[in-house]
Amino acid sequence: MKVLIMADKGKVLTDGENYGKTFSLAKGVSVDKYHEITDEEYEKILAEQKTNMEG
Amino acid sequence: MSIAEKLTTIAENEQRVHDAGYDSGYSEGKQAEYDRFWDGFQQDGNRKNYWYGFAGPGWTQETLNPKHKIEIVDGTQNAQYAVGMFYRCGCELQANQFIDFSKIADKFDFSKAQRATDMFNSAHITNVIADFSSAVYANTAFANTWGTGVSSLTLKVSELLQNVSQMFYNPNLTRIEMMEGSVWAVSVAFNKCSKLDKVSHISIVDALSTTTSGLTVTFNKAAVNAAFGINVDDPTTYPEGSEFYELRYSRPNWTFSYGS
Repeated sequence: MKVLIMADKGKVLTDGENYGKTFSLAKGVSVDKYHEITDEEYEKILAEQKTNMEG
Repeated sequence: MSIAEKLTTIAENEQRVHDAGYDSGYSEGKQAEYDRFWDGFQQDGNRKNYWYGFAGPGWTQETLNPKHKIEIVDGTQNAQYAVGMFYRCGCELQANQFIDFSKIADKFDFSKAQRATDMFNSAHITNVIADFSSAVYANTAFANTWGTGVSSLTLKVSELLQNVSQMFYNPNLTRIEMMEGSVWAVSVAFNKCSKLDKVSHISIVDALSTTTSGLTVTFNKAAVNAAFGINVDDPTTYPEGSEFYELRYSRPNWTFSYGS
């Protein structure tokens, strides 16, 4: 079965490691692995990553 | 020929001899200057450590031209000879000006480097050719945190790579082509690559391992939609048999994520 999951408006899906608005799941992967965070939370994570990259 | 004509001819020849000598001397002087700089910078070709070696401003297409071939070989944690090698290289260039790496690629061999973190981070370089066959650490290698960055890339990776979540944090990238033999065996994100074209997407997917499980590749949703003329949120726009459908399900063992 091919599974496509989408985040609600203003939200981002994540499995704790990968982030996206839409996920097309690999064969055998459960949707239970994913949860939503807000766009603001995601932006904060990106900002932290950018800061880390700049050292 | 009159005496006057002969004198004129002699004078012209003298000028030609002078000009030829000047050009030759000038050329030799420039070559000597080039040799002196690079022999010093590269320790007569014996330098091993290029940790942030070409980082920062001052480098241009003309100046970034090493005399001796650079082969990075690092095997221990303290030998991070390629880390940050071109970090912000040429950063003072105009936004549309890039150092064309393909013109000097034959002077570099990264294929034995195990650590390539930050290597081209925010570098004003394009047409990068990077064989990362031995790379284990390459996170942020092509990231762009200063508004500049690598715009086109030909890359080789192997199963050795670990944690590349920020390797392609770079909206400048328009083309990524994976070299033959490349294998992605780690979750990898291209979500910041909003300008990637169709060739790039196909090349990246073709390099995804067919034997791993539990891994995710993340693309930029707008880039995918534009490249394939689809809406990834609407499977009716890419039915079975369509180019994108066949591409995506050529790797059923991978989760595909579409973000921004």
